[in-house]
Amino acid sequence: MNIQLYKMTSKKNKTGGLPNYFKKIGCGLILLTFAVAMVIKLSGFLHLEDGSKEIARTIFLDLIILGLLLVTLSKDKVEDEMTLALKLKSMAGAFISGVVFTLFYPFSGLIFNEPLEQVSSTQLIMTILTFQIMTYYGLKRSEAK
Amino acid sequence: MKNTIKVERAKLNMTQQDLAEKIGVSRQTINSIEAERYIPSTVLALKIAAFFNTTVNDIFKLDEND
Repeated sequence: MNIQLYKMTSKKNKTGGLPNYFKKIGCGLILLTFAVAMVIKLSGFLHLEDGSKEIARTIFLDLIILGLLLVTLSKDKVEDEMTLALKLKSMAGAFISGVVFTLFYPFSGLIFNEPLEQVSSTQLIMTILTFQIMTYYGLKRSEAK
Repeated sequence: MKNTIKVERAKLNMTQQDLAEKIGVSRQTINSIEAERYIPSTVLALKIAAFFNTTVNDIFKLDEND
C-alpha cells in the first residue's frame, strides 16, 4: 500500500485570506459595536447634536461592516478545495442577493405607504456580507450531515 | 458519480478522519465525497487512488445522471 502524507496546504494551492483568529476579532468587533451603540442609545448619557449623531451612526455602521468583512475574509481552521468551492458559491449567491435587494428594497416602503427609498451603499454592503456569511455556514452545515 | 471510498477505507480499517489527514483534506470533505454530495477535483481523486494503490477508474464510476 502506497501511503503518503500530503500537506494540508501546498504552496501551489494557497487559498489566501486572513488567519482564522480574525473570525473571532470580527465577531467581537460586531458585538462590541452593537453593545456600545445600545448602551449609548438606551442610557442617553451622550447627548449628540444632529451632525454628530450622523457621524456616530456612520462610524458604528462602518465598524459593523469591517467586522463582517473580517469574518468573510478569514480562513477556516481546515481549508481545502471543498471549503473553497463553498465559499465561491456563497460569494456568487451574495452578489445575486445584493442585486435582488437593490431591485426590490425601494418598493418595500410602498407596503407601508411610504415614499420610494433608494438602497444606500451601507445597506447593500451589509446585506451582501451577511448573506455570504449565512450562506457559507449554511452550506457547510448541510455538507456535514 | 459513485465511488467505493468507504469500501476501500473499510479494508484498511480506517476512519474518515484518518483518511482525511493522510490525503490532506478535512473529514467533512471525505464525508461529502463518500455521500456523493461533492465531486473531488482531479488532483484529489488521483491522491485518493494513489493512497489506496489503485486507479481512479476503480474508485470512481460515472452513473446514469452524469
